[in-house]
Amino acid sequence: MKYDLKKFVKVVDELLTHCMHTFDSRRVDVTIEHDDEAFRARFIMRDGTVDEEALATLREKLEQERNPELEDYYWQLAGELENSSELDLVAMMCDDAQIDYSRNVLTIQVVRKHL
Amino acid sequence: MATLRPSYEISGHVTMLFRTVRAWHPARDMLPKGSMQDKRFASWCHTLFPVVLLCAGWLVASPVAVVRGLLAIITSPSVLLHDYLAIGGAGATLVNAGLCGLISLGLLRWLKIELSGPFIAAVYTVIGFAFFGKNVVNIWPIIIGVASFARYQGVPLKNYALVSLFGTTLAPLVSLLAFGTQFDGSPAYATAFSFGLLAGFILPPLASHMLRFHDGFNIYNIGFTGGIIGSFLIAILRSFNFTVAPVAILSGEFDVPMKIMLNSIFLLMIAAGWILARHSKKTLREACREILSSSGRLISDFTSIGNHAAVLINMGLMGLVASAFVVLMGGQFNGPIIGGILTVVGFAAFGKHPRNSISILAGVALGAQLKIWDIGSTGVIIAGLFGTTLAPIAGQYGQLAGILAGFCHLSIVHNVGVLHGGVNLYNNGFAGGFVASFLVPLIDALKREERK
Repeated sequence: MKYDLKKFVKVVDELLTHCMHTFDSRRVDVTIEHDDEAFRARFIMRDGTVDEEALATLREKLEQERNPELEDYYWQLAGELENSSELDLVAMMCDDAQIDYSRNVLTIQVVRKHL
Repeated sequence: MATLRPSYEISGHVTMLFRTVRAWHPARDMLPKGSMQDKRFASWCHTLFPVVLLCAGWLVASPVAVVRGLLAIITSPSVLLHDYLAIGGAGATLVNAGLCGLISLGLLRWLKIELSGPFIAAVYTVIGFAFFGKNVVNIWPIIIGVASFARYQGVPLKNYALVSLFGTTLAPLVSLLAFGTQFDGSPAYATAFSFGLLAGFILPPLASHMLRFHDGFNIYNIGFTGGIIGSFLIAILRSFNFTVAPVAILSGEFDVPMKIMLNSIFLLMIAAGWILARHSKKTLREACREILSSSGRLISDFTSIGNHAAVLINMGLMGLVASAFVVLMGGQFNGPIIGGILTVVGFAAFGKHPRNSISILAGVALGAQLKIWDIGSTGVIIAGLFGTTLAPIAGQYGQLAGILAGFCHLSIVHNVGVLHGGVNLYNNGFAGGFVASFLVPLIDALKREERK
C-alpha cells in the first residue's frame, strides 16, 4: 500500500501526542518494530494522569476495526494538532490495539498489517 | 387521568418492520450477522429517502413532463447557479434527485460499504446537489475517473468511494463542456468526458493532500479540492478564449410544497430516530451528549461517536434548523437552497450539530445585515447553509469564533466563485478552506496558554 510507512508514523505521532497531551505524561517509552508482516508499536507510560473516563474513551476508540475505505483519504490528518485527538483515525489505520493499565503503568500496543 | 405507558405495540411493529424489510432491504448483505438492529433500520431509512423523492417526482408531474424535464436538466450546462426546478420542473428534479441518491447507494452496496457517517453525508450531498448541478449523466465521468485512479494505483475502488461521491462536485465541468460551448455533438461530448475523467483521476491524491491546508476544520474538503482543480482547468480553458458566463436561473415556484415535503421528512427522521433509540445499546441521552460534545472536526463520524438513532434525530433537527434559517432570512425553497438544506442534513451524521452550526449561521446573518448583499438573496442564504462547513471552528474554539468564521465566510464565498467559473458546485467548501486556513492558526496563536 502506498505511503504505508508514513501512515504508521502518523499513527505513532497521534498516540504519542495523546499520551503527552491527554494523559500529561512526561516520559513515554516507545518501541517500534517492522517486519514483512506488519508494523508494531508499543507505548509504555509510567507517569501521567490516567482517569477512568479517558481510559474508557481510549479503549472505545481503539477497538474500532481498521477501515481502508476512509484511511486512504483521511490519513494525513493524524498527528496534526496538539489539542485534538484523532483516535478514530488511529483505529481505522490499525488492525489490532491492546491497552493495559495496571500498577499505574499504561501500555498501548498497536499493529498495522501490510495489505 | 390517563397515564402514559410505553407503547409496546410500536415496539412490536418496529420489530415486524425489521423482519419484513430484512428480506428485501438492499443493505441486507453488507451488514454483519448479529449486528445491531439500529444499523439496519437506519440504513433502511436512508434508502427510503431517495425512493420517496423518486415516487414524489412521478406523482407531481406526468411521465412526459418528467422525461422532457430530465432531458432539459441533462442538457443544461449545470454550472452555478442552475436551479433544476426552474429548468426541468419539480417532477423531473425530484426524479433526478431520487435517481442520483439511488445510484450513490447502489455504488456503496456494490462495493459492500456500510452506511457510516461519512457515507451518509456523501449520499445526502449528492441528493441535495441533484437539485442544482448534478444529474444522472454528468456524475459518471467523475466517478469513472476516480475508479481509474484506484485501478492505476492497484487499490480497491472502495478505498476511494467517498472521494468518488463527493468528487461529483465537478460534474458541471462535464455538462458545461458538453452543452455550454460553441461546439456540439461528438467532439463536445468527447471533450466533456475526457475532462471529467481527468478531474476524477486527479481528485484522490489532491483531496488527501488538501486536508493539511485547513487541518480538517473545513468539512467540505473536496469542495476546496474541487475549487483548486476547477480553477486550474478553467484557467487553462480561458487561455484558449473559452468563456464561462455567470448564471442565476432560479425558481420561486415550488416554495410551499417543497417546504412542506422536506420539513415533514425531517420530522419523520426525528420520529424514526426516537423509535430506534428504544432498540439501541447506548441511551439516547448519552449518544446525543457525545455528539454534541464533538467539535465536528474531520473526521467525526457521529454513527460511531453516538449511534444511528441519535444521528437520525440530529439530521432531522438540523434540517429544521436549516429550514428555519431560510425562513428567517426571508428566502424561498429553490434548488440551491434545498441542496444546502439537504447537505446540512447529511453532514449531521458527519460533523454538524446545532451546537457547532448555529453560530456560523448567526455570523453569516450578521454579515448579511452589515454588508452589501441582500439578506434574503439565494447567494447569502446558501452561504449560511453551506457555511456550516466551518462548524468545527465553533466546535473547537467556541461560539464567538463560529460567528467570526461565518462573518468572514460570507465575504470570501462571494469572491472565489469567479476562479472556477461555477464548475465546482461546492463553492462554499472552496471558500471554507481559505477561511479555516486563515482563521484557525490565528485563533490558535492568540489563545492564551492554560496554566498548569
